[in-house]
Amino acid sequence: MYFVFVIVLSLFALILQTAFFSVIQIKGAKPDLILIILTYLSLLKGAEAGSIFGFSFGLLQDVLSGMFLGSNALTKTLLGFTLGSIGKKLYVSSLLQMIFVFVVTFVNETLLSGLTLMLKAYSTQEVITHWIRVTPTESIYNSFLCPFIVLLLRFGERNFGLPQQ
Amino acid sequence: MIKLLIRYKPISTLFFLVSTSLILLSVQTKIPNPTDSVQKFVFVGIYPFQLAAANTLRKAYHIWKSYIYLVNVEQENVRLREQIQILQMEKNEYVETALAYERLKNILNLTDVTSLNTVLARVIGRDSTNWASTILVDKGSSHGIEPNLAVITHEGIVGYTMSVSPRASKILLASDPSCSIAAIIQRTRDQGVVQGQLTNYYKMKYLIQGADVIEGDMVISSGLGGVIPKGLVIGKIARINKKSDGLFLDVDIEPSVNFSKLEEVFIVKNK
Repeated sequence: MYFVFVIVLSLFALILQTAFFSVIQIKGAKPDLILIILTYLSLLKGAEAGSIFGFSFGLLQDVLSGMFLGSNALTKTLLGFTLGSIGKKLYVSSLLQMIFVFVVTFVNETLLSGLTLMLKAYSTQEVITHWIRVTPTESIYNSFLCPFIVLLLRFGERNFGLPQQ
Repeated sequence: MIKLLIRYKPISTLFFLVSTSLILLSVQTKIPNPTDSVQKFVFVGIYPFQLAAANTLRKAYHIWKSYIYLVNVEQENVRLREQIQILQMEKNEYVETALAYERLKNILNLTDVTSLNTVLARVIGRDSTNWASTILVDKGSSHGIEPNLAVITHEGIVGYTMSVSPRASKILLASDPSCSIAAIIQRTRDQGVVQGQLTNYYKMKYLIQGADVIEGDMVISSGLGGVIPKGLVIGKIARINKKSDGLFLDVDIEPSVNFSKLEEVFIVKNK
């Protein structure tokens, strides 16, 4: 049941991201709600769940964007696995979640900028300028939204099955 | 082998998923749009929810603008009335010019480029990442939309259709670096190619060094390439960075369309 809740919540987050948060961008940056859910899930549920979730929703994100199919899937699979591998050893407090989301956004955007540079006809200077313009703002934006998403996920845990860790 | 895969399940899952991603990425660099049917399938599934979210957002915005946010409305009214008077005068001049154009057109036997067969589409979603510029609209193949059709607004060129499902289409915006439009400077008729950038400006490429262009010159589509019809506004020249070497000028174009405020667009059905 919790599994269904997470999928529904993630789909809702994705629609919210394309319909709502794209309109209220801050300095040209929009948040990545899927990345926040991925961070939380991977830290709590482990590497396998993290990589599967990262791949599935990264792929869905690619379909709904102009990126090459597989770009977000690749970066989010790697991040899900890495976070899942270290997450079990850490006590995941709310503040730590926010810090994790901040760092993970930085890493994700850096990986995406690398992929963009390799696959599309952008100049290095253009990609670096865009990275500097968007990444710090998006990281702060994601960290700020993190407690709200985590609250929803913990609500799901309490009401739909899996015990809180 | 299977025992080994089960024993190291997380690692083997990671290996499988990363390989799949890499295969998908490498296939797309060789074949354009090989996953079009997958995208169509996702659009069909996500369309009702996307439409509902867009409608809710539109209604909320309407309530905010119409009933809550009414500061400075009076001053705006005064300003708009003044503007209407100026526009009325300008309109009269344009009517005269249009009549003269019609007469000359008949004399010279020119074809009419302004009568475009368009379909109005509403924006129901935007790109989910910060690295590409696309929008999702509520018209698809059941409305006669195909890939590679020009998308415009009254302000100018928006982009062109990429993936099309029965009831929704993905539009690649002109501001995306993957989008290139054959263009001419309206005043001087110098030709080049306008390409989107990750910044707020387009870049005009292949404009020869000797071109007599100035800041503020209008840039319009040339019709070459067959996707975008001729004569549609792309933007105006914002900056000319003259280089001492090289064959071409480095020109930044300010887009005529405000992409962040797109709500409705026209899809041009005839090329």
